[in-house]
Amino acid sequence: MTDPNPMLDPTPAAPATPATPAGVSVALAERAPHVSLFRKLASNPVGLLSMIILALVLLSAIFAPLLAPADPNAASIGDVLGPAAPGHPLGFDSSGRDVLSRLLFAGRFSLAGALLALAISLTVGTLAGLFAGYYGKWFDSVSTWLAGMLMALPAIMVLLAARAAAGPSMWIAMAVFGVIIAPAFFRLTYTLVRGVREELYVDTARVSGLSDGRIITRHILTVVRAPVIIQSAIILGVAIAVQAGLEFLGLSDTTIPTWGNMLNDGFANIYTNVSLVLWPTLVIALVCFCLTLLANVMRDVLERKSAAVARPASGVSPAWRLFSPPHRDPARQTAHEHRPRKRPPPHLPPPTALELVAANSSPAGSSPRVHSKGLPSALRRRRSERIPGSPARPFRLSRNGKRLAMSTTLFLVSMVIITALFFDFTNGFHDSANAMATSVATGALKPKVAVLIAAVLNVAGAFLSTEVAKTISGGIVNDALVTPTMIFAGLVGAILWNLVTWLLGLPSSSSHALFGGLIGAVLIGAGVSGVNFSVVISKIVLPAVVAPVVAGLAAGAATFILYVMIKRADKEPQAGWFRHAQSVSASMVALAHGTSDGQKTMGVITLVLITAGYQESGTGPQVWVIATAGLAIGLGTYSGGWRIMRTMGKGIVDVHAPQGFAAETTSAAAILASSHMGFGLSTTQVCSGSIIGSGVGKKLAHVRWTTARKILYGWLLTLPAAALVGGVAAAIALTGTIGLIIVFAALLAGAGAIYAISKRAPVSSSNVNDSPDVTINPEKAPVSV
Amino acid sequence: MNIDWASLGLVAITTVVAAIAIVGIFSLGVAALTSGGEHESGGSLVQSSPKPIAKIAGYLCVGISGLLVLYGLYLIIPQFH
Repeated sequence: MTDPNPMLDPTPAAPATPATPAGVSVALAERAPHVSLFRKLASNPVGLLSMIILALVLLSAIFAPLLAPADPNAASIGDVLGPAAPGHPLGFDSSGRDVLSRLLFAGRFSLAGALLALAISLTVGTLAGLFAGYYGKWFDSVSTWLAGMLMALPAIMVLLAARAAAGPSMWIAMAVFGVIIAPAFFRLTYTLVRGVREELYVDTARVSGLSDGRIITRHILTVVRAPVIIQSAIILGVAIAVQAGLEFLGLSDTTIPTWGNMLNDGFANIYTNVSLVLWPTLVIALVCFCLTLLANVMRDVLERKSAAVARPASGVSPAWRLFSPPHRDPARQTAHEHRPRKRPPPHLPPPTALELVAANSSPAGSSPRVHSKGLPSALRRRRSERIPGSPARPFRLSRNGKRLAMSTTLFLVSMVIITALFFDFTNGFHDSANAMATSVATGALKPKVAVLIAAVLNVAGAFLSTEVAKTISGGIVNDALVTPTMIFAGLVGAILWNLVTWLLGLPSSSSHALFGGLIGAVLIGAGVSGVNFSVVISKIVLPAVVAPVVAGLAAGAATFILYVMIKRADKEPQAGWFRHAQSVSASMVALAHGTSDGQKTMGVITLVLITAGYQESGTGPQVWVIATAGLAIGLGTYSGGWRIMRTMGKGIVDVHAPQGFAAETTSAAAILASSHMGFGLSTTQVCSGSIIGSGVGKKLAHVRWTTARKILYGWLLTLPAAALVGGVAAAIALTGTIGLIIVFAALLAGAGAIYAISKRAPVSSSNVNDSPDVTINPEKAPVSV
Repeated sequence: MNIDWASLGLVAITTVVAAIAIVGIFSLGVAALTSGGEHESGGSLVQSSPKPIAKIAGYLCVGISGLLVLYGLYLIIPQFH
């Protein structure tokens, strides 16, 4: 475990390989300083954090008798479901037992159960894999067949059957699970051993008369070690989750305290005391999460080292085959005789990612000479590459180098995707008013029905649109300079601005907020040259002026003509016709919005996935991206954004059905015209303009210009404000992983604060039409108008 | 700076023309369909049905609006083109 890089270690190989080139003595001197796995893990913030958390959980389980304030099984009828009391900080469960004590003692049973499963699967799987891989023959076929059969069995069904046969015991269930999961280790070990067995040094060891046992322990096991450790962390997490799942269903021994049993108990009382579910959930999630993250970091660290073992000519290290199907490199097989010349002398330190990349890109570059020559600079580079806070760095690595920086990359990519979906959500509730505000205000559709229709059409639109934005910004910023961190910062700026305008009830363009955030982030991250200011004028400022004017003119003219033709359009039955027509036009706006705005987030996520190397360049969005982006915008739309809806439906003009019809029809026409004739207009600005126009076009209608002016100020501020937040976010996020986490925490805190403030004077589907004004403090709010 | 004035103008004109045309046609239809006027009968206002020719013209106008909606759908949904 301390040295997962055995093939490079000449010490055990030296006596066994008399044919080794005469560089061994040098090798001992030049060996890279040995850094323990633990220290490497600790130097990674994610690894350190997960190790600390896991250690805390483990220690608290071990020392549970000392730490627990009470006996975990001592029930007290007076305290059933009782709240926190002195000495019982987490309260009592349904039997009046102390939750904290049970949580601590449960750790012992849950962890021990998971370790049992791990021990069994590790022993069975690894041993079988070693023998099958090394000796082959009939054992190979039998064990492979058995492993295939075990994998085909649905685990949960087998566990249920085991429970029926052997009774509800957690230990038996975990032992059975250990056997079921053993193929995971078997296949891993088998693949690795098969790969090593053909190696020259194993042949030499065999020829020189070493026993099989010695070869296996000295040369084979050491190769298997690193991937097996990684796999163990993953399996441990899976075992904890499966165990908790069984217990949650009540299928395990309910007499012992375990996290799953606590979950079961808490779930039964979820309506009386939610916190009973919260604590075990938190612990299970935390442990599984940390184990997965730790496995990720370990893979990162261990495989960076074993990458050194990789034959530079093929560039595939044994450990990298962990997640790829076993394959034989035919070139390597045929080159068997020449291998002594082709293999680099064992004294070379591990080649860096850059070297591997270089070796792969140039066909002739795989000679040992190149490596030894490139060594000092390569080492320097490696050190600079590991400076924390250059998360953009991995993205510049080529395809082969990408895995080396996997955990940082994965973390960053996950952050960007989560933030993008969050932005999509705010986009949804911001723009739900565009389509539906007038329909809600005129009563054409009930508020809940209106947002449901808008949400469904938005999701449908997201699935319908096949054309994905090829660039994130449409040329406003230099896309070549944009890194995922900047996108992240830009999204943060856009989200916060969207939330602020929502709080104030102002419709503002989500695309402009996104562009603004991006501009700010790029200004900080890449300098002034990164932003294309003439495009900012031609694509944002000019359309922002044009959209409301054109839409206002069109809607005004249409409304005017409508009222000229039908004098009594506001009265029944005419108004009924217009209400129906208005619903249709509003739905058109919602659908058009879904095809354009849902696609924006998909584009962002897809581009991030491509830059990070998780997706082939030139391919469209993956199905899960389409589904989650559609869902996020749909949920956002359904949640309504009632504050904005009130402003647009009641605040600017007191809209009547014919006006609403004229306004929505104009909006639909303007959006379709702009999307098909190449001059992009913002949906929000078009819709606001049409509503104002529909007020102007009706004689004597009252347009509340104060509100209109407020909206205008909002538009003017959108870009600079989002840019400011995006810039600050970028400045912090670009400092490194910690900065990234700080920005994300700040985003959550900001969003939470805005949400809390909005609760002072909430606007919901029930009171959206009660008043034209959106206020922040309740004392100012008029009761009704 | 490269501003596409031509497409800007085109979008503006299309928006104005389309909005006026659609709203106009539909309103014409509604006007025709509700052209019967009201008369008092038994103390309550009752809508009398319009003349047959007005009814046909009205449904024609509403039908054209419906077709325009379909055209809009055609424009929105990329699978159609």
